[in-house]
Amino acid sequence: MSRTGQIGLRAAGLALVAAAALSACSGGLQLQERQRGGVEGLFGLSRAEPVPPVATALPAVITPETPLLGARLVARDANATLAIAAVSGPVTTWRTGDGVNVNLTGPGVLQSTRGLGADLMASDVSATIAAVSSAAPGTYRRMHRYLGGDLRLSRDIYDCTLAAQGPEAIEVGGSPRRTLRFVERCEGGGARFVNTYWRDAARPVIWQSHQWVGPDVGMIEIQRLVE
Amino acid sequence: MRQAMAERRGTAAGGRGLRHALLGAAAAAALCAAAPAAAQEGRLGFGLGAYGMPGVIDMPTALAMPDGMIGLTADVLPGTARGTLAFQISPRLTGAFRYSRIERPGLGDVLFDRSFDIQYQLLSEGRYRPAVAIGLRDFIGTGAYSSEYIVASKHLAPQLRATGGIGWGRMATRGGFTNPLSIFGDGFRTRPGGFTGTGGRLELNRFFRGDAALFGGLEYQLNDRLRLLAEYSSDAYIVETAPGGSWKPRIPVNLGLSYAVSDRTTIDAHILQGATIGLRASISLDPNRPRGQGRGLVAPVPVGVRPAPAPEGGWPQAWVAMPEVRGLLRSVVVQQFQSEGLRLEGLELSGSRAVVRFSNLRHEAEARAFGRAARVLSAALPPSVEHFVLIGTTHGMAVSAVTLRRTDLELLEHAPDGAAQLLARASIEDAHGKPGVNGFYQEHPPEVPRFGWSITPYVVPSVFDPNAPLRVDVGLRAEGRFALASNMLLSGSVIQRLGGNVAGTPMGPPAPGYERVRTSLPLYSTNRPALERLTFDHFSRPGPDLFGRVTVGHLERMYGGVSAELLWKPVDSRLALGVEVNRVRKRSPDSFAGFGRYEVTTGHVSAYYDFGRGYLGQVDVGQYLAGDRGATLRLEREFASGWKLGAYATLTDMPFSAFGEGSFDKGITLTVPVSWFDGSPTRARNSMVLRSLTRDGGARLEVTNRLYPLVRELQSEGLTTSWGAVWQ
Repeated sequence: MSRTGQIGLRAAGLALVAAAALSACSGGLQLQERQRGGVEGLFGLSRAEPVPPVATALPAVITPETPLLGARLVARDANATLAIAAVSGPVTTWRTGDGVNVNLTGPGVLQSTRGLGADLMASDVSATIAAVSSAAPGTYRRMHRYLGGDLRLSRDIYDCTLAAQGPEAIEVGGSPRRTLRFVERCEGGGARFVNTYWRDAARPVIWQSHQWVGPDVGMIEIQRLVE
Repeated sequence: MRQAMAERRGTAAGGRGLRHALLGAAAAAALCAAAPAAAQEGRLGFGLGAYGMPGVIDMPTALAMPDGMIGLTADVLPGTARGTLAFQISPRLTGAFRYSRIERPGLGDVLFDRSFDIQYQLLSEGRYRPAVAIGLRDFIGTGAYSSEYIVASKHLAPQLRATGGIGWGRMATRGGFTNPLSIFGDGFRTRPGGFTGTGGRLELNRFFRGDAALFGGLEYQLNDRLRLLAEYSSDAYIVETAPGGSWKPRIPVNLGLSYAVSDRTTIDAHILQGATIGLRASISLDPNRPRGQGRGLVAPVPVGVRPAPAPEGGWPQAWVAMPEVRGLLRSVVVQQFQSEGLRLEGLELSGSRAVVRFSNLRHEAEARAFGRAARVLSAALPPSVEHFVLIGTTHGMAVSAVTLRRTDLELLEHAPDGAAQLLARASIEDAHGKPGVNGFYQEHPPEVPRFGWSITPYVVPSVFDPNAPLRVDVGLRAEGRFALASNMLLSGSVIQRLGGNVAGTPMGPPAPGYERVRTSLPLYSTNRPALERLTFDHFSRPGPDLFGRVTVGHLERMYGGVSAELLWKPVDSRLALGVEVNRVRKRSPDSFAGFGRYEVTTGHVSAYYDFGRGYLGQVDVGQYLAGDRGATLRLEREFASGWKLGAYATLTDMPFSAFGEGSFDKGITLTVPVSWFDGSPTRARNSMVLRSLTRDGGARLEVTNRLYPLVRELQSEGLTTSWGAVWQ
């Protein structure tokens, strides 16, 4: 090939590399989903693009009667509105539009989360549920499970004390609610957290709560906007 | 490449005596200090020294890194540069591979040296007991750093750690005294210099021989980030500081400062021997602690809970006879699977059972793929379907069948012990014989395109050429594939080199009497478009516990022909056996798809053993590309996150003298999962082999898609290891 031909080919090739590097092109049958991140992730250069979420069971139409939850992740300063995606016995799965699940059990105690990264994978909060539902302070244990990098579920046990802080009138979703405030202090395995529950004065329903998800996610603030 | 092992004697006997007294005191303090009650065990984390292993500056400490941790260190001083990869093989065993550039003024040349270290912690630090370790530095190879040592480390105060020890070899080049081990025999008094024959071998008759010397060090943690280091070094840097060198040692003490940039990265600066300055950077990676936190993973579909109780007489099954309903169900499952990064390969529906074959395109944790598939089925299928048989497939081979009951899914989704209980109730079996699983032909799913392509940039490094330690080629790769069936794939790739310096690599010397089976690789680096690979692959399940592969075509850059493999691996067995036979011809470097004249049959009988907790062993016995016969031993440690580190060695009947420098083929294998870095789920991995030298002995054919790694992930061990992610 002539020299100019070689240079032309090289220039064209480099242009292709630039294009390909920006979005390595592919189509049709693939053996695995295209990789993202990698070395760029090591240097903090890539941002994980959100994968299109699975079609959810969210209601197509939101009416004034549709049960809704408002949630805020304090550490990330992120707000979301959640609707009921499924009910399985006492556990209700609330879901955001961009693929985060918050599972609340009983009157509204956090059972687990999905889609937050270092999720609370599973938990045993039966004693908390019993204490808050019956509005009876006490001392008991909680268990949380988190997924480690070695794909093992940890088993973290916390000693907790629930104390009543008295009645408090709050406003949730524009409606005034008469509540009893409870504070749960837990400690175990080097971690320490404080959950607060605003339980309805008459029924076992938690209108507002601040609950600890885990060491990486931090606190989540939940409000029952529409029951 | 012989190292001048000149022995040095102390100048003044009195000076030496004082030095010994001080060291003795330090050692005694380190070993016997009755630590005050307030001192806590092991407050200081480990630090990586100049050699990339736990150490102070040049001298080692008796510490171990956390199990499984990887440390990367780059250390420079005038005339020397060292890059080390260290790995905590097990809680007490640390290994390292190092590549160094050493200027040797006495010989007027520059040595590019590869060395391996190993250290074993005999005792960990206790309240009164110091940590004690024994180590071999540069124990295979030409011996530029060759030393052995026994070392002890102890905290004297929560922020202060003292280390003391005794070294042989290079670590006895200052202040050496008669080997205390010579009480076991006069042979211990002298140390043979240089190396045997072509080098690269374990020189057993050198270990712990010759003079010994004491060394010691102190580490003081000043604050959160800063640590002060001081050591008495028994390494006199004889070769590097020969007349004509850029520096000369003045005092036997090294002083240093270590700054923790983050909890994973450290930068060190030190003054060596009062004469020169060195710099170091180290990064540690924990394969069990991903950097990303899984933020790219979208929450799963909740399990579809059927109304309870079930109607009398069971759920209606009339839908089974309606093809429109079955067609609709299939398309719903196909679409939902696709959102989850799964591909539906086959769906067999009956009134109470669904047998689903699928392949996992996204999730690095296989169990998560199974969990997501189960959730989708529970939400999509009619209530009468109670049993889900989930069959994981790879390359069209159905590997294992995991059977779950829908009732269990409904009950255990939110249970505190949901993952463990689901595993207890699941049954994992060989997929052979299950409905829809055929031995030799699996239909390509109609919803999936048959043709696929991609164009990606590539980077190929080539390391350890003595003249240019790092060579890199950059270019574009165009790949195409066509699926004749789910288990029959026609695929190929063409590369166009755009730049780089691999082509300039001189070929290594040939092995006399043998064909240049690998040393002629540089000839294949060309500026024209090159056919990298063009093959037809057929994967099969010939029988229970059996897996088969046949590959025909241009198998790799240098060879083409036929490759056939059979693997026996029962679903929950630790042992697997395989046989591979290849008949190949060398490709011509000058033509796009032509062949040369050299033809050879290579093949191996292999035994694989899973020791548990991620440790794998493999032995291959057979004939290699140059016609030499022998065996390869490979040991590997695999982490649930996808990291794999291993080492291998091959011994064949090719004489060491014919093989050339290095004597026999050995190397380190490393696989890095991309998902570890930013947490988003992906199955992409980068694998590399750090081979000591490219030679013609013990050379194997590079066939993609060897069966064992493909199959293993989907069987009991692979699923159980990742089962924590099943409900994720």
